Parts: sequence; C-alpha cells; structure tokens
Amino acid sequence: MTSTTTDAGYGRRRFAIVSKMKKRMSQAALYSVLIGWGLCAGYPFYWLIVSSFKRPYEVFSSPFAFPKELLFSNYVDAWVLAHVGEMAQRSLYVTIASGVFAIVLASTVSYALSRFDFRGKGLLSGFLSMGFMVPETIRLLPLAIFSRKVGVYDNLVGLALIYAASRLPFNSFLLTAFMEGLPRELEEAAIMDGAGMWRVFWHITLPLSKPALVTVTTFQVLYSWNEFILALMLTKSFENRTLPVGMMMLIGEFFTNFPVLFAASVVGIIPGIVFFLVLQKQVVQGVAAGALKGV
Amino acid sequence: MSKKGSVSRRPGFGSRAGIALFLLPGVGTYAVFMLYPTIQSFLYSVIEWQLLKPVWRFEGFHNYVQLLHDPILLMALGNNFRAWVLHAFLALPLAVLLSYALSRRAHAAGFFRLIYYIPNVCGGSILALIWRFLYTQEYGINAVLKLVGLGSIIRPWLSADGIVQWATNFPQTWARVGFWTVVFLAAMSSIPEELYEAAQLDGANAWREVIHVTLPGIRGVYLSANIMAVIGSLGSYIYQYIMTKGGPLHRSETVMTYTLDTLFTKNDWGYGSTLAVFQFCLGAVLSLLISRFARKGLRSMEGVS
Repeated sequence: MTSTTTDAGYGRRRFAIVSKMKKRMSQAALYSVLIGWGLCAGYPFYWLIVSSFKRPYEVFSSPFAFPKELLFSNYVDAWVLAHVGEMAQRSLYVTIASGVFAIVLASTVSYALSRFDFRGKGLLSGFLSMGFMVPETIRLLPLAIFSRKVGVYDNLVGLALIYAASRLPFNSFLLTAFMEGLPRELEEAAIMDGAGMWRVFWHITLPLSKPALVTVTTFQVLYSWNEFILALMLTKSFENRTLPVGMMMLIGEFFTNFPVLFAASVVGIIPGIVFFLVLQKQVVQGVAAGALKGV
Repeated sequence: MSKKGSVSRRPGFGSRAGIALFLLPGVGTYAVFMLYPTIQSFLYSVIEWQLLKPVWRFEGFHNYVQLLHDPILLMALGNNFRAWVLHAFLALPLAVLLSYALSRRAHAAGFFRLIYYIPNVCGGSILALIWRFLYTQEYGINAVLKLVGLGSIIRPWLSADGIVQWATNFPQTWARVGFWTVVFLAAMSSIPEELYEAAQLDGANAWREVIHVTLPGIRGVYLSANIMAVIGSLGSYIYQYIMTKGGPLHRSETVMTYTLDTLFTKNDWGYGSTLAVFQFCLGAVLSLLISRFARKGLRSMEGVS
C-alpha cells in the first residue's frame, strides 16, 4: 500500500488518482445528461400539476413556483362542472370492456396460430401483420359509414370492440410468440387423456400464458384509455364522449379559466401513469419485445 | 414445426372445425373492423361520389393524378420528413446516450427511466393540449427561455412560417426519446457481461467499450428502430391536429391531418380516401425497402466484425 518510496509506486498512485478523477468526470457527465433530459421530460408535467392548483393570474405571475394555496376547487370544477367525472367513468368502461375483448380475441387466435398448421396460416399472419402499417385515416370514413349500419356507431361497447380489433396485430403477435415458447408436456398429457381443444386451451395454455396476457392487457388498456381519433369520429352524443375527446370540447368553454382545464388534463394522465408504475415490468418487457421482434 | 406432429397426434384433436372456431372471433372482428374498411377506402378512391353518396361506378384514377399536382400534399410530406429527421437524428441518438448512461449502473436508474417514459403512457391528445399552452402563452416555454437567459430566441412558435413546422413536430420527438431509451436499455442489458470483461482485459477504456461492445450489441435493434421511425413519422398527426389543425395556411400539415381535413372538413370523400391509401402504400413500400436495405447492411456489418 505505502510504496511511495519507489518511482514506480509514485507513478502508479498518480495514475490511480488521475483515472479516479477521469472516472468521476465521466460519471458527472453521464449524470448531467441524465438530469438534463430528466428536466426536459419532466418539466411539462411539473408545470401542469403545479398550475392545476393555481388561480389563472398566478399561472402568469409565477409560472415555476408552487401555488400559494392549493386550489382543489379546480379539480372539483373539472370533475363536476366540466363533466370530467362522467367522461372518466365512460373511458374506464370502454377501457375495461376493450381489455376483456382483447384477451378473448387475441388468446383464441394465438392458440390456433401457435398450436396448429392449417391452410392459409401464412396468409392470415400476413394480414395480421399488415395491421401494423394501416394508418387510422384509411379506416375512419368507411368505419363511420359502416358502423351506423351495424349499430356500433355512437356505441361504447362497439367502440371497445373496435379498439380490441385495432390492437389485435400487436396482441396476437406477442401472445403467439409466448405460447410457442411454452413447454408442451402438460398439454400433450391432457390430449392423451382425451381432453378436447377447448379444455386444453382453457385449463392449460391460457393459465400458463398469464404473463403475456398481463402485458397484452396493459398495452390494450393504455391504448384504449388514451385513444382519440376513433372515439372522436365514431361517437356523437355527449353521453358517449370519452375523456380524450371530451377534453377537446372543453377548451373553448374553459379557455379563460384554464387551471380547470389543467386539472382535467391531470385527471386524464394520472391513470396511465399509475398503471405504468404498477405494471412497469410488463410495459418494459412488452416494449422491448415489440421493438426487438416487430416490423 | 417439429412440434406439430406431437400436438395433433390423437386423431380428432385439432380438427378443421375446431381450429376455425378458435380463429373465428378474432379473425372475424379483425376482418370487419380492420380489413373491410381498408379495402373500402381503396374503392372509395376510384368511385364516383354524388353529394356524399357513393355511386358504385368506376370513375378512374383522376384522384391519383391529382395527388401528383397537390402542393399541400407536398408541404404535408415535408412535415412528415421533418418528423423523421427529428426522430432519426435527435430522438434515437439521444436515447442511445441516455440508455448507455442508465445501463452503466447509474443510481436511480429506475427513476430516470420512469420520468423519460411517462409521455408514452399519456394520451397524445392531452399532451398536445398541454404543449399548445406551453407554446402559446407567456408562462410556458417562453418563461423557461427567459429564465435561462435565452429570451432572445423567443418566437411565435405556432404561427410563424419556418418555425411552426418544427415546433409542431418537436413534442412527438420529446415523447419518443423515453420510448427508445427503454428499448435500447433492454437491448444493452442483454449484452453478455463477458464481452465487457474481455474488453477490459484487453485494456479498453470506457469509450472503446462503447464502440466495440455496446454499439455493436444494439445494432439490430437500432436498425428496426429506424424502420419504425419512418412509419411513425409518416403517421404523426395528433400534435398538429390539436395544436394548429395544420395551420397557418397548411404550413404545419402532415399527410394525416391533411387527410382528416379533406375527409371531414372539406367532405371530399373521394380525394380524402385517396390520400389515406397513398399514405398506406407509401408506408408499406418505404418499410419494405428499408428493412431489405437494413438487413443487407446488417449482414455485411456482421460479416466484417
């Protein structure tokens, strides 16, 4: 340790100090990048939340400061006067329904795709992956016309079904890949014992696929809660406005009392954030899987 | 495929009717709500329209000829191009940098990842609304710029030509950074630690580690990120739609906002459908070309290293 008497030791120690300093500096550089972008990414949210508790003039006079007093009344106004409460309930309803639809539609298709060979399988996979590239605009007008004919126009259950169909390419892609990777022993034993397709699916494959089902549902829920353009074009009456659409209708009404609008925005984004906090692992896995294997 | 025989070993299991029953709900819903409307739009673009009623008679491809001479479409494509420039040259490199910093066992990596990713779990329409306020009012971006002494670069972000085109595209980029950080972080964490140890034994410094281990390790993901950036940029619209409606004078239009405007404001259903079909085909062609090109590039790079 104390080899300072020799030149070599001195050199080594100086080298150690220099490399330590270099390491510190590179650490500092890394952290400044991380914090810098953290500020950029977080600032709009900080600003939104702080402003949502202020009076309008206070937003102007001290944009960065905490509110002098927390005006929860902005939230009450948003929830009641601006009908955000109703809209959020409706959005929740559509979101839950679409989650259920998504699980039913994607798990059955994925079971068939992952377990059997049949004629037209390649074609079907091709059609499904085409869905990754279909822009929303190409479907909007035909859907708006056709949904009136089949009774899903201005209908929240219909909207939920359309949401599940929209996400089927992603959902079935993820689930099929997961099911293909499952061990087959249990299934084969059950088949030998005379179990039919439905029983094998329901009692073995589906329970084993739970992790992938959670991921799929998570993405479906985030999508459905936030979806805007389909909801805008396929609903008409006030009773069927979901939160993202209804929010836009509030802009004119609350343009001068904008902290109420901010409070409504917070209500709109909080569920997604909480959901993400709880299911972070699944989201991260799904994002990675989709990006690593997708396209 | 080797497992195929084992599953359908028992006669009667996996009958055609059984498979069809499993496929029916999903495929049926998908066909009705995805495929059918898409095909309809193709037809809508070549049939005759009279007062918003389709006359099912082939009208020719004059809508497609109109595409070629549409100055607004050209402006819109310009903005999609800007979206791609920001995505490919700002969001992706920044995400690589951030994910590298996080992967080197930074303290509070989970916290940073959370902050970066949050825009991706929020509705684009609500984020666009927030950004609209941030851009247009004295208390938003402009207040920040004044605070850090950059008051001189304050501009009318959403109304000046030459600025609105970039300003409307920026929030999408801002949101995407976190998404790609998470993706690259996952890719980096799947790089075997032995590669780093081997590099250290060879006396590599941090910089050389990045060049020789980290970047090659995420090459494949980075290429598919670039493909997704093209498709994503072609489909960007929500910020423009909420913040400017493509204005002023179509300056911040994207292909999708222009399509929406044509379909639902001008009620020109034939040409609007043509625009949508055009976007779909352009996206398909571009992603095919790039993925072929990228795969070729990837193969040759793997051959080299």
